[in-house]
Amino acid sequence: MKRGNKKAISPVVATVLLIMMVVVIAMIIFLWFRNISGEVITKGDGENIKQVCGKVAMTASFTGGALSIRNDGTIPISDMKVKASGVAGGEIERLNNFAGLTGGSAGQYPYTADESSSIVLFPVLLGNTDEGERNYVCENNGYEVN
Amino acid sequence: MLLGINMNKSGVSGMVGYVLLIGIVMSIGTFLYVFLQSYVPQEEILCSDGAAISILSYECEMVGVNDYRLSLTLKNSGRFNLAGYNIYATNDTNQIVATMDLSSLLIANDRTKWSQGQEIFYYGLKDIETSESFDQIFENIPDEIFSVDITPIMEIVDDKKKIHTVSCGNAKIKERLECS
Repeated sequence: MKRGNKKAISPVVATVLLIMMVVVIAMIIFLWFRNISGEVITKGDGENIKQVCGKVAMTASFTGGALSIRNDGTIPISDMKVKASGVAGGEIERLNNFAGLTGGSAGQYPYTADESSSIVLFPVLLGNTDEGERNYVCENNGYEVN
Repeated sequence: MLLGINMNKSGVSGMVGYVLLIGIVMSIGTFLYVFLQSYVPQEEILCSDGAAISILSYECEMVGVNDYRLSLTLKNSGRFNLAGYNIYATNDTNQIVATMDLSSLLIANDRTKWSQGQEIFYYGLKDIETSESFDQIFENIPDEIFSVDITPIMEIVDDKKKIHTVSCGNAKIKERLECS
């Protein structure tokens, strides 16, 4: 026989339980959402590196089998990826001999492509994660070479 | 009584309801803050608009085969002191971006130092002061040069008193040269 006139748990215990459940569920949702959104890479004072990519400024030209690149901004570029139509199936590849460009510096790098090819440069920035430094390719901020 | 549930009793008291509501709102607020914190745009440290450098005169001469010498008289023509500059030259008339780094070919004096081999800095009691002009000689240049790009460098102190060395890309100058 079920006794309906007695409470199973006191209101205080119920409240504590409810709060704990809400906190646990919030944490589970937070961790799940963090996994979905990917690892956050930051640069400088904790700014998301995707935003920093938009601040990269450079000038580049392709003549005589060489890419000339100058970093016109203040964000150091640690590496460079390049994509050219008709070269290696148009896939993004690392620009050989590129050793980084600090703000204001420039360099010339040998590259094989037709003069008529459409060449796009993707700067790579060095950012920070919870597990240390990590490179990030600014794939949404490609720079078309003149 | 409906299906054994007492409809006359509240699940939680009004006070506990408020506590729960505030707790939930704070949890959601904290989560959003942590998640979106990195997306808040931060102020980029840029050179002041008044930074400028200019070439007062130059002399470019061929000393020998594959050996050129460039003398420059530079002036800080801006409103702020400069910490140094980058200098790159073109060795081809069709070259758009100057990529030949001349900094390592500078005949240094007691106020000169280099950083990463690509930047020339001035130090001592003062930086390159406003209106100060100074001579620079670059020797053993292996190719004929047709133009130079010079970008001034400034030291900027942020709100946290941290010093940043910033290249002033907006104040870059390009000068065509003729070597004899």
